[in-house]
Amino acid sequence: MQALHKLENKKLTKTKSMSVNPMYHQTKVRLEEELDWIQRAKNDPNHFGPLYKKYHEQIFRYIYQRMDDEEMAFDVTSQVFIKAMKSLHKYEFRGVPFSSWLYRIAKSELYQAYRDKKAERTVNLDSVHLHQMIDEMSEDDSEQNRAKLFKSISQLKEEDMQLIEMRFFEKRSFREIGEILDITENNAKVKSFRALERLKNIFTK
Amino acid sequence: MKARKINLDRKLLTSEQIEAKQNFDQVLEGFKAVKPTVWKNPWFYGPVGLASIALAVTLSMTNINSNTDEKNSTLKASNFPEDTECIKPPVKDQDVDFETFNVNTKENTKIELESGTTIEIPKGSLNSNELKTTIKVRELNDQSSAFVAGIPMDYGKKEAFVSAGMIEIRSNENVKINQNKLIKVDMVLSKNPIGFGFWKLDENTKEWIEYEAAYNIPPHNEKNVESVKNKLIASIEDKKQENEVKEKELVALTAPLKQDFKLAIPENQRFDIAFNPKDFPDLEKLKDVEFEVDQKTPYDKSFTKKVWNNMKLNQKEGKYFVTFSNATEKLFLQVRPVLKGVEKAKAEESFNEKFQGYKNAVKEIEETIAKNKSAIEKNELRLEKMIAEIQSNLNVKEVSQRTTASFEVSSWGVFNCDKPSKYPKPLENEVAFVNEYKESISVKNVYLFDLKDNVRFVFGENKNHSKYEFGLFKKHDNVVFIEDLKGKMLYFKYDKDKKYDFSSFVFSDLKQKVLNLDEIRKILDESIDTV
Repeated sequence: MQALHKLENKKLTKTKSMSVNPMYHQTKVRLEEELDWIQRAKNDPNHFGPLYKKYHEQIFRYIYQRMDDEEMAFDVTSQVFIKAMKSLHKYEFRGVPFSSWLYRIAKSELYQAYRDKKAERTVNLDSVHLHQMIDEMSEDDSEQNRAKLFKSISQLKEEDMQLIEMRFFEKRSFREIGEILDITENNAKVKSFRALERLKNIFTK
Repeated sequence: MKARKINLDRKLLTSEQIEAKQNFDQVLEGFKAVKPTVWKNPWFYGPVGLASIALAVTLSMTNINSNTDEKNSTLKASNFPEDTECIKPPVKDQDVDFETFNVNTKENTKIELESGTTIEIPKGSLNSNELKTTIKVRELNDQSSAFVAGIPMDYGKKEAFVSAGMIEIRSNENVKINQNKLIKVDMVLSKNPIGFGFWKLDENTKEWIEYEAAYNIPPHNEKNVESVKNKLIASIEDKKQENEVKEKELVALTAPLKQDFKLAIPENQRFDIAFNPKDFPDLEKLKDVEFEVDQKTPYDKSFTKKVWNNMKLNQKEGKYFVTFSNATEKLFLQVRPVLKGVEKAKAEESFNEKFQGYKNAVKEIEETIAKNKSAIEKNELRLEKMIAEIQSNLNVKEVSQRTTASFEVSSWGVFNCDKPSKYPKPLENEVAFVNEYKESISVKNVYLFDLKDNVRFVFGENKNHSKYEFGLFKKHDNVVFIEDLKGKMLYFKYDKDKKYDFSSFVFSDLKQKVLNLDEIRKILDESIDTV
């Protein structure tokens, strides 16, 4: 059993945090620019550079959020882009933005790293997340509850953990979650709420 | 299960720190070190992509040769195109007509077909010594026509094509197309081509080769789409909630027990025992009873064959017990009274009625759940497609209100907008094909039409799928055409809601008719699930 960290009773202010994916909602100009890059990269992989530069940080953060080892996270990030370049000919803008397509590859590479035992599945929380989740669950923000929530999160099934992370920690929209997990937006919404229900059940046991 | 590791308040890396670790050269090296993959594969839709589907196909036309004056009559049924090794109509004496047009090779020509498909032939496009040249066209926009025309629809070894639109364009053998002045076609599609590729039939190899085309998809009316989308979402939610309630109802339902009706359970032992009714007024009320062993723990089942000097019935805390004894042994059994004779018959009737009621309730709930699941599945699919389509239309400039595929013809042949669909798995047991007179059929080919996805699969002459590998989609409506060795065509309709004995699957209601294109259209269209 994971030892609980001592939680300081920090004074947390409620802030509306931005989604980790600022690239999700792009202007028309940026979208057109991106599509142009994709087209060029399809014809010549050397032109993939701008796309790599644009998405490197957020893909790295997605991966590092889910593992412990920083160097391994950079390695896996590189693998994601190699895979993306390899599969770029399959990508067409048919309702799935390029960023979501990259996240799908990132998810796949991440789980491969777990299977190959190169990395251990880890959840990285900060106190703000705990506070916001407790708020979401309409519970008192006490040290005891935070410790209880911390323990509950460690017991979530992987599928639920993914949804909680993406929705409540990373503040992704249901649409983006749907695109990454290859399910409908509505399904992503329903599944996210059910994951939260299950977390609440564990919490209140 | 190992508890997941959680870190709290781990120090974040800054954007600068992450950027410092970027190394695209290394990634490029890694990419080049990987074995080269086929950059273009059947899923690569050519260089066009949906970002550039706003293709305005305009030609400055002068002296357009209207086809209305020049259109000739269609070929008569007796003048069907010649069969080729690749395109062989399967139905005897049936084929799909070409429309023929006389084209003036010295002028720009625009042909407009009934469907709205247009074919533009620039001046000088046709290398012919004649001033007037014949162009032959046939559109094969439904399964029936593609089938009757004998167009092969297999893709690779495991899949067949679902078509959104197909056209065959030909001329006389000696007429070639000027490669600097290609023929332009704007073909009307019957389906949204998102997810579809574009192909030309290689008649030498009988394979479909990818071909360059651009799709024109008219944008939707935004308000209507939003309203439909919201209704779909609401409907899906409603059905899911209803199913949750129904699942709970199902769990709460309990089947009636025979014990509650004082009915015997056949596999249990029973016997008669005399007792004083005054000592057991409850038993007296039942009128006619015997006793069934109700012992949970193991006991000597041969007790009924033994001779007992004494058998005594007792009651304690609502339960009944019998003590058997003789000179050498004693046996103590828990029993329960069960009805005999007329009372039993009455009780059985009550029990059966209650049990049937229970079964009906279960069936009704299960049917509702299944129906809701099917509706949810359909609506989720519709929603996905709708969302994908809305996204793809974001950058599209309105060109036309019709969905079309625009392409250039550099050589005569068959052009198709389609996507692959997997062959069904073979049926587990060998299939016997018999006609309505129960006579065995010598099968040459089997043509399976999946009416849900509008795909034709072939077993038999198809080198990849012998007739012994026949399978169908049990959860869809299917139509199966069988061609016998004499070339006669029979058919069978598989109804997904009917139960079939797949251990001896028999085409028991095949009808032998003279089949033509219209008849085949009726057969295929009748069964279409148009939900």
